[in-house]
Amino acid sequence: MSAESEGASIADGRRASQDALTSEDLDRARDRSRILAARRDGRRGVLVWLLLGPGVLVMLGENDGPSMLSYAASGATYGLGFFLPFIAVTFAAAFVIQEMTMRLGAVTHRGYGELIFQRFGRIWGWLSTGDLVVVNLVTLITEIIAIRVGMGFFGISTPVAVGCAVATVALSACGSRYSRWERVGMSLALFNLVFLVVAVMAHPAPGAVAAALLTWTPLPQGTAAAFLLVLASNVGAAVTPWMLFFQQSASVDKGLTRRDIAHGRVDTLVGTILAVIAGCAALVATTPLFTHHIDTSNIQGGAGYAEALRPLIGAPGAALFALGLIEAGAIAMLMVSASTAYAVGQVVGGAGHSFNRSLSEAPLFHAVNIGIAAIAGLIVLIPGAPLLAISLHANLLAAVLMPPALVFLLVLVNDREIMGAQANSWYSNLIGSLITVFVTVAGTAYAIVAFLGTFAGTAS
Amino acid sequence: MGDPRPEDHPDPGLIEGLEPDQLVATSSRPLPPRQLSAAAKIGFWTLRGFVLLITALVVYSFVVSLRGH
Repeated sequence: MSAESEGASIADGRRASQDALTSEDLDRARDRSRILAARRDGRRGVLVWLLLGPGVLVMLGENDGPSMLSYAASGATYGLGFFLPFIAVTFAAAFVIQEMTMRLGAVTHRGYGELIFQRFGRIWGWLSTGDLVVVNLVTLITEIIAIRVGMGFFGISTPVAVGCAVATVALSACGSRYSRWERVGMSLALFNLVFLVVAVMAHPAPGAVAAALLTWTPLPQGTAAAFLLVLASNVGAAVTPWMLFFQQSASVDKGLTRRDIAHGRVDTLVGTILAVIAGCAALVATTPLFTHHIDTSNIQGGAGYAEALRPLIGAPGAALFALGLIEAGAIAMLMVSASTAYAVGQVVGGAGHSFNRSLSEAPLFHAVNIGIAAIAGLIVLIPGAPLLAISLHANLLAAVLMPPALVFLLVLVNDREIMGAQANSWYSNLIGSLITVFVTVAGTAYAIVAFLGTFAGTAS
Repeated sequence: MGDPRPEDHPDPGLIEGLEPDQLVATSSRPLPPRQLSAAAKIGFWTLRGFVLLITALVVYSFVVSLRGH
């Protein structure tokens, strides 16, 4: 086909598509026009700012309530040392994985669930979505628990805390515009860095922090089983299934294209760096509990850490720790709920799945987004609900269900029919495969140790 | 698919900013299914079976922890 006739064909196709324009197209086109103008005018800073979003949200969203508690437990149990650089490495792995999802979204303009459904068939599409819905519901319960215990530190009752958590999800989607929802999320996500302030208030020795980061020492003491549990818990804290569904779908909703892939990488890298800083800060913040030999084996809630830290770093520091937990739970709620809504909307034929659509235009999408948060909230409110057991098993379930999601991702991102020249390189595949094996081994070991632990508990 | 908003009918220049396959009318058309080899199918089902087995361990330890509380 000549260039002239090809151009005419594209124009014909565009005219035909314009006859069926939706509000989603129009809103996305308005957002894209700003990006194109910034690119045309050479305003690099504005361009970077406009293209930040999904990567920052997914990484700071992953620093959720249970993750921050895992990092806090690492600091309180083992002090500075091995786990500080280990957090950075787990997020480096998350960066590799998330870059692939961003690239898939930018090239195919389809979400992760949509691609599995279309390329591998209904069975795999529904199994993947089913896994996601189950693990997301459990995760959302733990996020609301984190918000509840954080607010409990300030004397706020459980029903009010749960109501605030669910209302945050509902209110964030007001306005029927992806860009608005994204900026609300990013504003909230930046408060993740409150843990950095708490870490400074813990007065760590800068030399010890630098030594830990550079030498991975001191190595953790204690039993191998306990070490393995904390290690796998930290892996589960950095790489989870909702992240794949979320960033790919959000990249599509934002309107990223092949031309934006370099900026998508910058977005994901900025998110990774911020998440590493906040995660490491949560670990450093609780190291006074280790250095003062305080028994933290019975601290199983966020408020427990804040209360335990109060005599060591002062009331303001403890209050900030509790505030950080509230924020970590809230931002994760937005992302986890959204990833569920995207996935369900994508596999249910004909349903809209975009924040650029109003409630009347995409009722299923918005109902799932708010509904799953509301169901999680109601479970937390059930008197006698096994919230502690759910919290302890949330990261475990996410780690166990991660391998199939990673395998599908690797297959999709190597699918040259849809990815063309943007398919994975051999070294991306090598790193991606190593990460998949590591996550599978860590998740399996985590599950087996937890399983064997039940017999030890029964015996004692 | 949502209804268009007629009052928002845009100037063509605005829509030019979107790539043709970004438009909802185009991106909502399903991609053709991929032909999976027998080995790939066996691999996927084996992985699924493995995950179910490990998930059963997690569910068991969850149930035991419920009894403990």
